[in-house]
This record gives sequence, C-alpha cells and structure tokens, in this order.
Amino acid sequence: MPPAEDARGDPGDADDVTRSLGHLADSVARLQYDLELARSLDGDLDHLQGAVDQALHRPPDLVSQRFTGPEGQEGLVLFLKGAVDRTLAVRGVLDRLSQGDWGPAAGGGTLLDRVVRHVAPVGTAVRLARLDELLRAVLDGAVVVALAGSREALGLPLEKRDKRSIEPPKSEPVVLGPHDGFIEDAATNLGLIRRRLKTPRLWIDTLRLGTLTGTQVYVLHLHGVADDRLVEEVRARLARIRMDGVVTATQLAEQIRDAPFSPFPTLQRTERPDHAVAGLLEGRVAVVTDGSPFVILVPSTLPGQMKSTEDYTLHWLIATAIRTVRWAALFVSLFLPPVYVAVTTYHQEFLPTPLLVTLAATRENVPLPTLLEVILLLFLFEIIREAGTRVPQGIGQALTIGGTLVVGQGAVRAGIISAPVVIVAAAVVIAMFAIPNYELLQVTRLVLYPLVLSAGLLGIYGIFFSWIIVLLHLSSLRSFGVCYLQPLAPIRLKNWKDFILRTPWFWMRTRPAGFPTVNPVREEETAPPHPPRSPA
Amino acid sequence: MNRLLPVAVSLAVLLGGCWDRNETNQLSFVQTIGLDWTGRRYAATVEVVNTRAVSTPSGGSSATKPQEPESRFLTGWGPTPALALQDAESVSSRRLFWPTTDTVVLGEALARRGVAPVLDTLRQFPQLPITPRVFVATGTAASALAQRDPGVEITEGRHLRLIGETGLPYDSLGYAPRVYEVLRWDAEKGHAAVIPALMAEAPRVPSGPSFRFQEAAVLVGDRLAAWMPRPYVRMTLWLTGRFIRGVFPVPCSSGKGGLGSIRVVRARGRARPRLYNHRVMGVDVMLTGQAEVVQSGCSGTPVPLRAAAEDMVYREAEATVAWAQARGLDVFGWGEDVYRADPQAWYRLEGQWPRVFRGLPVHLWVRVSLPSTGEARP
Repeated sequence: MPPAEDARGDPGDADDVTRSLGHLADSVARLQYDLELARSLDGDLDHLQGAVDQALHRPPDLVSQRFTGPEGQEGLVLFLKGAVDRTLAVRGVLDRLSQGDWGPAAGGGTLLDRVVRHVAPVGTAVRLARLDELLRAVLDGAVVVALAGSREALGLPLEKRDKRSIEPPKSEPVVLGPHDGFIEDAATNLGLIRRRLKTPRLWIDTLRLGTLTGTQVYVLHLHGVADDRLVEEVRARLARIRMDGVVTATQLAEQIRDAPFSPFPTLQRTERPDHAVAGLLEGRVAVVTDGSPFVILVPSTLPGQMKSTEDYTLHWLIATAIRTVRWAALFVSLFLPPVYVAVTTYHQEFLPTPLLVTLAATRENVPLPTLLEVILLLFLFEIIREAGTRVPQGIGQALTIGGTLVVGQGAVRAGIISAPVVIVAAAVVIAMFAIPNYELLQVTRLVLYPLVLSAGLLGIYGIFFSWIIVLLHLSSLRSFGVCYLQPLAPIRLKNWKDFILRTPWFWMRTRPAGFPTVNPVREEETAPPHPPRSPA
Repeated sequence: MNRLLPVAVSLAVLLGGCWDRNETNQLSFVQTIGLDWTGRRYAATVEVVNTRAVSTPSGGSSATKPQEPESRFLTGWGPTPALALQDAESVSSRRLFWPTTDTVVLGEALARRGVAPVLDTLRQFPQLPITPRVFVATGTAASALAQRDPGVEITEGRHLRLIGETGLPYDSLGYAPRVYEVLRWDAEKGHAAVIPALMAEAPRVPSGPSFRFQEAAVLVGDRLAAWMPRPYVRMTLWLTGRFIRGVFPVPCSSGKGGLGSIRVVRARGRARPRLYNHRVMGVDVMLTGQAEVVQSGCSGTPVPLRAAAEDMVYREAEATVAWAQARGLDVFGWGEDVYRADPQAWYRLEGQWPRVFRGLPVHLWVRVSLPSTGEARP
C-alpha cells in the first residue's frame, strides 16, 4: 500500500505544475504577440493604428497623424517625437502629403510610388510590408507613411539623434597626436574611421544585436589585408550572442573574447579613431557598437596593449625611451610592493646597511607588520582613487589632497604606517598611470595583491612562485588564435622592431608577424631618407 | 596540473615558512664585532645600531630621545668565539642581524694566541658574511671600541667602516683586508698577513674616533709575529700590488736644500722569482708608479723631480724589504710566487722558507712617472 502522503498528493508537486502552466501561458502569449507583429499590412489604417498602439502600449512620444492627400487619399503618418527631426517630419513630410503635389497619376505605379517620387524628401525610403518591420522603422527613428488600401508602408529615415560633440578621448589622452575620440553615435564613429581610410577596401558588415535593444553593430576590416578567416570568426562569435539587450561594447567584448575568465584583456577597446585605423592597417578587425564610444579591436596582445599612439607621433628614439619607461613602470607597479615586503621581512641582507638601518628606524614604533602596512595603504589608496572617480570634479581634487594628507602625513606621524611604505604605495599608484591601456591598468591592481600576499608569506620565493603562475597563465592565453605574449613568447624577433624598441618607419616594412593577414607587406622597400646628392 | 597545483602551493607554504619572517624593528643590526682573549675564555663585544636614535625626517620615533647613543654594545663570553657571540646575543632584547657586520676587531692577546678559531667561526657562523674588514687592536678590542658618550655623532664602528670603504682620511695607514682575504693569505705559501692595527686613545676632537692607527700587525700562520712600523705598511702594499695613495717628501735636486712633495696616484709592484734548476736565486721586483707634483719646493727654475722621487721611493722600498728580511716575514707573498712559478722549487725548500727569505737577493727597480710636473711656480 502506498504511503499516506502519496495518497493525499504532495503540495510541492502541485506548485510545480502551477508554475509550469504559468510559464506555458507566458510562452503562448509571447508567441501570439510575435505572430501578431509578423503579420502583413492589410491597408486598413484604423486597424494599423490600433495595432501600433497596442504593440507599443500607447507611448506618449508616438505621433500618429491621419492626413488626407490632395486627391482625397487617406493616409497615416507615424513617428516618435524624440527620434526624428520634427521640422522635417511635419513640414517636409506631413505638410507635403496633405497639401503638396503628389505628381501626375499618369506616371504609373502605385500611390506609394508617387509618394516616393514626389513627396519623400529623401531618396532612401524603405518599403515596409509587415507590422514588425514598420515598428522597427518607427523605433529606429523613421517617419512611416501608410496609405489606405496599400499593403506596404513607407519608412523615411529622418532620424535625428542628440549626440555629444567629438571630444578628446578621456581614457587615452596624448599630447602630440590627434585629439578626436569616438562618441556614442556609431555613424559618427564610422565617419571618423572613414575619414582616415579613404579606400573601398574598408568593408563594413552590419549586425543587429539584442532582441530588445536592436543595437547596430558594425564589423570593420580592410579587405585584402585582414585574413577572411579572422573576419568570419569575429562575425560568427558576434552572431552567437543571443542577448535581449546590448547596451555597451563591454557586453560584446565579454562574449566574443578568448579566455573570458582571465582578468587579462584578450581584446582591446579603444576610444581613439587613429588607434582603430592603425589596428585595421595591421590586419585586425574592429567592432563598432552603436551607443558605445569604445571600438573593439581584435586580436590583441599584451605587448600591443603597452603601446600608445604617442609612440608613433614622436621621434622613434624618444618613443623607444618612453616605452622603456612604460615597461619599467609596469614592473614597478607589479613588483615594488612585493619586493619591499619580501626584502624588509625576509631578505634584509639584500639591502645596503645604511638603507636597511634607515628603513628600520622609520619602522621603529610602527605596530603593524610590513605586509599588513602595505596592504592597508594600497587598499586605502584604492578607496581614494575609486572615490576620486565618482565625486564631482571640483571635489575630487580636494578629496585627493585630503586623502593624501590623511594617509600620507597623518598615518606616518601617528606612527601607524612607516614613511617608506607611503613612498612605495605612492610610487605604485603613479607608475600604474604610466600604463597606457586602462584595462591592463585595472588588471595590474588585481594581480598586485596576490603578489604582495605571497611575498609576505614566502618572501622572494613567493614572488617568483606567483609570477611563474601568472606567466604560465599569460603564455597560455590566445586572442583569436594569436599568442597573447607575442613577440615575447613565442619569440618573434621580427616583431621586436615594434616591441620595446620602436624603429623608424622605413624599417617597419611588414605588418606584425603573427597577426593573421593576407598581405604582410606594409611598405615597399625604400631607402632611409638622406640629403639630396649635390649635382655633379 | 590541476591536481598538482594545490600540492605545490601547500608545499611551498609549508617548506618556505613564514616563521622566517623578521620585521626590521625586531632586529638589531650588528656593525662591528670585537673579539678578545681574556686568558681563560673569549670575550665578544658586539656593536649594534641603535635604530631608535637614527634620525628620520618623518619625526616619529627618532626625535623622541635625541640623547640616545647611536649604537649599543653587547658583551658576551664563552670558551669558543661562537659561544661568546651567542652569549652577546642573549643579552639583547632583539634578534641580532649578523649580515650587516662591517668590521671585525681582534684583540692583541687573541692575535698572539692564534686567530684560526676566530677565522673559522667568522667563516661558518650562521648569517655572518666573510666580507667584513679585519683590524687588530693593540690592547683589547673592547677598549678600542669603547662606548662613546651619548649624542656623539659617529661611532667607532662607523669610523672603521668608513675607513674600510674609502681609506681616504688615513692615506698611509694601510689596507684593511677582508675576512676572506685573511683566510686566503693563510692558505698561501709562506705568506704573512699584514693587518692594520688600532690603538685606543682619547679622541682628539669631540666627534673623533677613540683610536688611532699606529702600525700594522703581521701574522704568520695564525699568530701575531710582529708589529710593522707605519712607514713600511704603505710600501708593503705597493710591493704586493695593492695601492693606497701617499704623499712623499722629495729633496730639491738643486743642492740648495728644501723639500718638495709628490703625491703618488698610482703604483704597482710586480715580483718575479729568479729560478735556476729548481732553486730560488733571487727575486726581481719592479715597482712602477705615477705621481703628481704637489709642491715643487725649489723656487726659480723648473725642477727635475722624477729622479729624486724615484730615489726616494727606492730607498723606502729597500728599507721595507730589509725590515721584512731581517725578521723572516714574507709579507710580500714571494713564497707563493715561487710556488706558482715552480712548485718543485717550493717543495724543495718548504719549511726553510723563512731562512731562505732572509738571505734572498732582491733586485729592485723603481720607475716613477710625473706626467704633469708643470713648471715651478715663481
């Protein structure tokens, strides 16, 4: 005999069934909605107006205006107030439809054709046969004209977006070099790239991602330079994205990048058009996302992320020196605190005696162990830095000064933290800002703490141990098939011409080896510049 | 890899050991070690830096007690040098940090008794480097490193370290060898070590050292054999290829009396034994130097000082060799030169080297160049 509970039935099972039925009902409703949207237009304006109102849930910014043409034709104009140029929509379309001349009927074609020929102020009118197409056009900022009895409507792209002007890029500022940066408008961004690449070889593929946002995403490459397989791979990875909302380029970046769990950026985001163009010229692929001022560049390597636009606008010797400083800054920001902790707590004999005595004197009454001191101070600096980015500009400076005074002077005077630790932390904070790539800078912050901890636990041995793990991880990374550490690992001496060293342009005849390109030669062989020979 | 990683991390933590951690404010940094023999046991005097008294710009700890001495002395005794050092550490509230040791001062009694146990300890004592400079004290090392009054700017240990590093204030006092050099000399054939000697005395100026350099200790084997007078120390170093700067008085060659001065800025001595049929027939010694005129001394015409300088250096070198030969002390390492040139010859006379050295014919050449003598100023 079955147990009594079975006979009565489990209340949990009933809940599950109710929940499943609810899900099913929701799915059916969504399907019905989609089917309703996918239906063709039937030329009934009342029906169309009702369907649009229902689909968009009577939005307050929707203008739905009936009109009667000069020959008595009934029509409907639909557009969103904030998305279109209202002057053009009213004067250029609505007024002309209701009062203007539609042209002779003898010309042949449907009423819609006459509207396209004589009324529509732009030549890129799109014919819309289904309700969902019509709605998409309205949401994209088109003025839709529907005529009674016509099974098609007309979408007139009169989009007008409020956008900010082109400004210098905030995340990649340079002194010498172009000062224009990408903005949130994809069309403008494409224009900035086209302005620098006036070639028909610049091919742009368009994708619409995000079922709700319908974000336009453009995949750019230089045909005949970039490897088609790379372009195809980028397209395929983008096409796999099934999100309902794509708002930022980061969402795409996280979904198309290799090793998504690694903190190291295996693709590059840039705010600079010249940077994007340089990437395209190297055979890389750029992804422009509407609504984001950042363009994704793939593939990307760690040494590549240590380059700055300024490297190419300065004399090559100076650029090489600056790059060397930048790499040194990277190592300082990664290793100064751990080495300080290791040396002052385990390997004091590494230090010259006078320095050691001075360091010991500064720590004389400090109650905290060095490890805790360093971590505490670095953490405090992180808080100050994070707070500095949030607070308004005017207060930010005061906060920084206040924080520095409190942490630096106050803590040292109070004997809580020793002065050398403040110097170490300050040096790290400053050195980090020498790293040109913002994402890499953030990773440095992340990697620093495990290094400091292992130095505090195991000394120099711990630093080596942790660093080997980091190096193993770095050398295992790939970015769209390209080794993340190249030209360092694997060693490609050819690419060292543009690694730490930046050789003159006339020596960099080929594109970076290792990047997938079908045309490795960038420059015909030319002699270095020399003074003109004197006439014999 | 995934399985090995946790094991590797655990092993690293377990084998590495955070128990090796020492905060710098838990350490006392040893600056100088003085070792004496009291007749029954060894006495160790360890000078450690008083970090509380070291001035730091941040304020904090340092300014609290400005009258504190810059260093402290810890004393320990024991039947062996190592036990004496350990005993000295036991009276400290902090762990002694030996790698910072700059100087080792050996007492006279200890040097006479034999420095081998001390050198052996210095070589093998945990953390103790073999790079400190070695001095011998006339009297006890403890008295040479006497504790100063509070507030004195510089300590004996630091004085010695500076002398060892620069040698500048004591041009003609000699070269303080490092522990490893003394150990090496000990291993060389017939070589007698020359180590600068300190003599305790009241400081001439308030912040001056409470010692002075008078002569050098000559160690044969591991024992103090003689005190070398100060003028010979410099020449010994020159003849052995180790240079220290020095100013020489040079008589005027005009015959009218008066003294000039030259400053030797470079000198190098090279010795080559004369061997015949595995017998040592003598030693050729070539001493070349470069000097500059400090004071020509003789007014009027340009003075040819070179010959006078060569003559002066020659006489000093000759006297130094004579002093060493008279005592049978091969302070120049010629025994090692013989051994390297002809080991058979060395083995033939091994044990008789001091006697042979006494009667060894020495052929001395001296060449001094004065590249920028200039003209005598009116």
